[in-house]
Amino acid sequence: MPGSAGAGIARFRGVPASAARLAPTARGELFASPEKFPIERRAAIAVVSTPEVTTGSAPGRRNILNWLLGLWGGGVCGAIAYPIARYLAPPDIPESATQSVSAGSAKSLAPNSARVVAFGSRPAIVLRTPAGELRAFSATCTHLDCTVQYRPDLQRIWCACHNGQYDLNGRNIAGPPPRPLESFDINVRDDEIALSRRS
Amino acid sequence: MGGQLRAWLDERLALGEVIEALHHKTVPHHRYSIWYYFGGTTLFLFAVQVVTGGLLLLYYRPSAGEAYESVQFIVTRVPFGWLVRSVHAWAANLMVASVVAHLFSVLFLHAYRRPRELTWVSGMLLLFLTLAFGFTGYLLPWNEVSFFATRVGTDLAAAVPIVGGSVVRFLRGGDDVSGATLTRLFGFHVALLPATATGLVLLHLLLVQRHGMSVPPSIEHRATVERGTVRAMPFIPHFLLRDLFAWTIVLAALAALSTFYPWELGAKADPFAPAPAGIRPEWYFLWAFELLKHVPPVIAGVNGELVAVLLLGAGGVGAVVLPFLAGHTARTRRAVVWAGAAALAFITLMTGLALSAVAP
Repeated sequence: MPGSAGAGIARFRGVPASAARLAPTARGELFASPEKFPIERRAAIAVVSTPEVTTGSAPGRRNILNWLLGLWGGGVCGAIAYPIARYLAPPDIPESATQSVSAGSAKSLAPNSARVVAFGSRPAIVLRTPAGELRAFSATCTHLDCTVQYRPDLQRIWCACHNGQYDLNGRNIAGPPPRPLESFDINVRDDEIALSRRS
Repeated sequence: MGGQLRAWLDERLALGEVIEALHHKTVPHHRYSIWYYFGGTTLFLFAVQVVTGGLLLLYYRPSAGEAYESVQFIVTRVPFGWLVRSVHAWAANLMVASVVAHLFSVLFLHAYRRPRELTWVSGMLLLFLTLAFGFTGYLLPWNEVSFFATRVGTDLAAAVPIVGGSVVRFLRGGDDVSGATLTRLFGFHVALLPATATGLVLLHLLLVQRHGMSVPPSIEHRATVERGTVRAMPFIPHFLLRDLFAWTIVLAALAALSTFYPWELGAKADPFAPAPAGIRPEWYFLWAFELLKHVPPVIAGVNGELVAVLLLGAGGVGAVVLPFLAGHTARTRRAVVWAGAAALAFITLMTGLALSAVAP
C-alpha cells in the first residue's frame, strides 16, 4: 500500500482535497477503514490541497476580500436567521381579562363534591366542603400544569399526574407541588355561583 | 436489455465500484455478533415509520377541532386504517426499544471508542430525535392522555432559569397547550424531525461503512493472545441475509401486535376536564415520570424541578461526550460498563416503581 501513495498524488493533482479524499482509489477502497488509509497518502493529499499562493502583494488584498466575504456571509445568514427566530416565537395574544365567571348552580353542588369550570382559558375548581362551605381555586396544578380534581374519599384536591395533594384551603400538603393553588372569591346570587379573581 | 441498462447506469453513476466495495465488506463473527443487528432493525423500523406516517398524512387533519375525529375516521372508516395507525404506533414503540438495545450494546461492547466517536455522537442525537418523534407524535390524536402528557412535558422546560418561559411558549405556540401546540408539534413531527433524522441517519450509515463493525476489546485481545485473527463473514450474502431475517421477525412481531393489540384512541382531549386517574406516559418516559413524582418541591433551597431537569440534562450531555472521556484504557472501559449498568438499573427500578404504583 505505501507504494501506491505516489500514484495517489499523481492522480489527484489539481483535484480539490475533498474530492481526492472521497474518490475511490483502488478496488473497494471507498469503504476502507482508516487503518487502511496510510499516513503517507494523507500527507500527500494535504500537500496537494494547499492553495497555490504565488503573487507577492496578494495576501493583504486577499485578507480584505476574505473579510468582506465573511461580512457578506454573516449578513446573509443573519438576515435569514433573524426573521426565522422571530417567526418561531408565537406572538403575544393578550389574555382575555377574565375577572369573573359564572360557575353554575350552588344548590346542585352537594357537600364533599366539586366541579371544574372554565375561568377564561384556564380551568377553575369549585368545591363544597363536607361542612357545606363553597370554595374555589385555580384548577391548574402548581407542579407541572395538569388539571386537578376533588377526591371525596381523601377530602382533598388531588392531581392525578404526579400525585400532588392540596387541602380544602388550596394549600399544597403532599407530593411535589411547590405552591398553593390560587384561590378565587365566590359570590352566590339567586343560586348562581360567581367566581372572581381576588384583587 | 438488462445488461445494457446496467452498463448505461454504471457509466453515469459508477455504481459498480460501490457494489464491488460491498462485495469486499466483511462483518466480524464472534460470540457478541448478535448485537450487530439492532442498528439494522432500528433502520428498518424508521423506514416503516416513514411509510405508515406518509399514509396517515393522507387523512389526518392537524387542528384541535378535527384531529381526534380524523384519527377516528382513519381507524373506523378507512380500509385498513386501523392497521396503518396501529403499525405506526407499535413501530414507534419497537423503534425506541431497538434504539435503546442498540445504544446499550454499543456501550457495553465499547464500539464508541476511537475512531468511532462521531458515529456515537450521531447515534445519541438520533436517540434524542427518536424520543422527540415519540413526544411530538403522541399529541397528534388529541386525546385526553396525550393532552396532559404534553402539558407536563412542555412545562418541564419552565424550570430552566431565564429562558424557560420562552422555551415553553416556543414549544406550545402560546401560553397553554392548545390547537396552536397541535399544529406546531405536527410540523415538528412530519417535517423538521424527519428531515433532520434522515440527514443524521445517512451520516451515521456512512460512518459505519467507513469504519466497519467494531470488534469488542475482549475479542480483539483474545485474538492477539492466541495469535489468531478475528473471524469474519462476508457482508454479501451472509450478513445481509441474516439482517433480512431479523427484519422479517420484526415485521411479524409488528403485524401480530397491531392485529391483536390495536392501539387505543381513548377519549378526546378536554382542556377543562381534570387529568384522569392512572394517567401516565409511554413506557419509555415512565422512569422520568416516576423520578418527577419523587423529587421534592425544594432541594437545598433550589427548585426541585430545576434540579431534576439539570440532572437529566447533565446525564444526556455526559452520554453524548462519552467517547471523548473514556474508552482508551481498560480502566476507563470498566468505568463505562459500571456507569452504563448503573444507568440501566436506575431506569429499570424507576420504571418498575411507576408500573407498580397505585393511586391513593
